[in-house]
Amino acid sequence: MNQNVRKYLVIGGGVLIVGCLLWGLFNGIRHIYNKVSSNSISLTTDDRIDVTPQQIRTIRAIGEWEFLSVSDEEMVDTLRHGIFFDDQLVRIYYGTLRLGIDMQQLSDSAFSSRGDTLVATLPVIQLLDQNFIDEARTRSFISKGDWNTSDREALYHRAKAKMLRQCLTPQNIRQAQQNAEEQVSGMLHAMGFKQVIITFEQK
Amino acid sequence: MRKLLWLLAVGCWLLTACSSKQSNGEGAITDTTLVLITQVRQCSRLYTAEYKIHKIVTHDDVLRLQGQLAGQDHDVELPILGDRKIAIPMDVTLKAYIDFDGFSEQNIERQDNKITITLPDPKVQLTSSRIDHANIKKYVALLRSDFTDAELSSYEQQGREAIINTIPEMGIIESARQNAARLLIPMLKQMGFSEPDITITFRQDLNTQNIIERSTE
Repeated sequence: MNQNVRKYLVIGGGVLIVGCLLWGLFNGIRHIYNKVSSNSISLTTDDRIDVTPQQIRTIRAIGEWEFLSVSDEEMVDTLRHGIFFDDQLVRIYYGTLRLGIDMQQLSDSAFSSRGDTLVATLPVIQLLDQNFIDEARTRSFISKGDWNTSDREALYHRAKAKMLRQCLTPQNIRQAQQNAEEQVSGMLHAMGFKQVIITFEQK
Repeated sequence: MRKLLWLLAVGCWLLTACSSKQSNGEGAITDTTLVLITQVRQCSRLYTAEYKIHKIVTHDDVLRLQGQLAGQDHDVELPILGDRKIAIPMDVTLKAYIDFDGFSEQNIERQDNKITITLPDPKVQLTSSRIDHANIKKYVALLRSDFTDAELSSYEQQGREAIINTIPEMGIIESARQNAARLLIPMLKQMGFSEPDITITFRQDLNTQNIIERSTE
């Protein structure tokens, strides 16, 4: 009987010791796993630009009266065929073409009174600024392969030519002229002139 | 002998195939353009002042090893891999304008031969920007990858924003007001008003933080 009790005690003690060891081992593994899983490592760079000064190159008095603006977005795509892979560059350009009259071309006799009628002869409607693309706003859409600065310069010129074709249409020029007539005559009426005639100089 | 003839024939075919591919396909460039959005807007804006700004956008990045190890934050520079530097010259045109869209009789006061015009507040807009591609300078260490097109666009956009943020300090609004008066007075004289009878005024409590018109991003 005593031998049996001792035997059970030894077995029970053994089981307890093994259980404790297993529990300790399990906790140790869990602790190490938690430590390792919270570890993270990555290669990073700071994508911000440096703080640099800017220079005002010119200050100019202008007199550009805009009557129609055409905002345009062009996706320009260039594909260079290779033996195994093709290189592709796709960029989205933004531009705003402003149509109106250049007040610095206003002649000295642009406004004349005939009785109670004011006659205004305005310069022709034109594109007010040849630089209309906001190139710094350009978005890169697809870029595969090596492309250099002259490739990007070529894309800019293609976007510009396309915008000119797309936006500088006779219809838009006519619309700008109609709006100019309405706006200028409205302003002159507000100044107290009852009869106003608006004409445009001939090209 | 027959084998040799076969080999020669296959060799000739391969050569012609390669050369024809080169002349027709490899290196050839296909260009397309696609109009995404065209928006036409009627307006009445008198641009009176133009500022041309030049800025050199620079960026210098060193690769860093960042992360958490054994519960502690680590941030180590890896100069051994080398750095990348780029300088992008850009020119931006800013124009100040007076919006005549809401202009009405309420802006004009007439007493006999005297006329007083109160002009709307001037606003400033970035009308164009240009990247000087030919003068971009860059250095890329041997173990680093070259700047991607998306990275270049991002630096250019940041440079553009940096210029826009400094507009209130440039004094362009005062130039716009003075130029507007210089432009309108000769017109009013032609209409029959004498110079001492013409007064052009602006609102005095202009908040310079609200003068910028940003393009839709």
